[in-house]
Amino acid sequence: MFDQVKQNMGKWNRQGEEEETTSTTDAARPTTSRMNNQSQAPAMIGPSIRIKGDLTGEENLIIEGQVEGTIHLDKNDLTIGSNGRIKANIQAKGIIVEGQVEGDIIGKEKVIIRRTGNMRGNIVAPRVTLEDGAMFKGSIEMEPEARRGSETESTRATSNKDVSSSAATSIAAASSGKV
Amino acid sequence: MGWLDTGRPGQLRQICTELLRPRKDIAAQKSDEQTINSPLFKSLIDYVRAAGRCSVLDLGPAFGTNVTFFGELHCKLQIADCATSLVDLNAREEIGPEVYGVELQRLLPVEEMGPFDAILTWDLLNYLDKPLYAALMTHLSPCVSGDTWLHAYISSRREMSASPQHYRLDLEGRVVITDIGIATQPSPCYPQQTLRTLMPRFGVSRATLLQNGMQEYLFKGQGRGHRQR
Repeated sequence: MFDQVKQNMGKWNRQGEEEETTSTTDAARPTTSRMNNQSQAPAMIGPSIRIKGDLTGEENLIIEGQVEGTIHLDKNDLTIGSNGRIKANIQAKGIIVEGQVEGDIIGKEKVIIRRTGNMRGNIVAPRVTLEDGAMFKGSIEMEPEARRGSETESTRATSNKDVSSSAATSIAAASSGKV
Repeated sequence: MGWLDTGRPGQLRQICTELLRPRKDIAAQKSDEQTINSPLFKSLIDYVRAAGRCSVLDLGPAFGTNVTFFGELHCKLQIADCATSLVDLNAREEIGPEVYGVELQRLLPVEEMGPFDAILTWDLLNYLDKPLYAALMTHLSPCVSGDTWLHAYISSRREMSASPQHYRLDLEGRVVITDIGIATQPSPCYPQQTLRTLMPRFGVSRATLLQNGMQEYLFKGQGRGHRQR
């Protein structure tokens, strides 16, 4: 069971990663990648562990147990495994939710809610992926500044101006009853 | 119940079997997704795209493509996922309108969410009787301003899907109906005058009839706007 979770943690470490929607088997993964995963094996909070309080650290972490309080892993990745039950505000570099979370999440790079995930709270992150079947209730805010370069932003701002006038016209026409 | 076993009206047996069939079986009958042409939703998306950094309330369940789509538009997407709960609330006869406010507060704590630029109700409003419909609109009113748009599909046919359908967006922003149900129920066919009465904070900006029998509405909030441009 934990192998799958560890695979997920390994995905955070891959350079130039793309959206992962399918699980990759160990056999299909290059040997070098597997070795890297082993050398950066994440810490784990097992299913029988319950923690109340503030959780901080400087290594990747998998939680399969219960945590109530706050979690800060600013420079590292966090996976809440399918057995994980979290009632806490979370801040981490990358966050994968496969279990249950009640609280607000700030992901510095990316947040992924897997199909087994069930989350109630608010997410702020540059990139958020919600897999089909995942349960989510709350708000999602993606920060574009962190996601895109400033040059792209300025280009968009210029194009938005153009769209703005046409959309305003569209809505104005709508108000006058034209369809 | 003996008449069922003696071969008397087979039709009755069929009806009883249908009624007793678990929902799982009904779900298995559902056909694939259907993309619909929804011009007013497109207009709304054009507005959201131009306005930038909009706050969007989606009363339906969470879909990954909706999150991606509104994320690309730099929107704050509030997913309430309360349609099923509201329909259940509507069906509970022991609960009267006097407790709707409390239940709505539990399901949809809007005061924490701030003013909305767009509210997506999809086809949910068809499944609410007038008291709950009105209570929902009253509940939303603190988050409605002159800059708020509300989008809804109102059934214009006598029959409609037995439960609210699931709507997701594709990456181009087209509306896709998922889990298209075969089972139907009578539709309230709310006329526009009734909608005006039930939604005093909104005015009908635009309405158009879709091919699937839904009247697509775009409502505009009344009063002063919350956006500074």
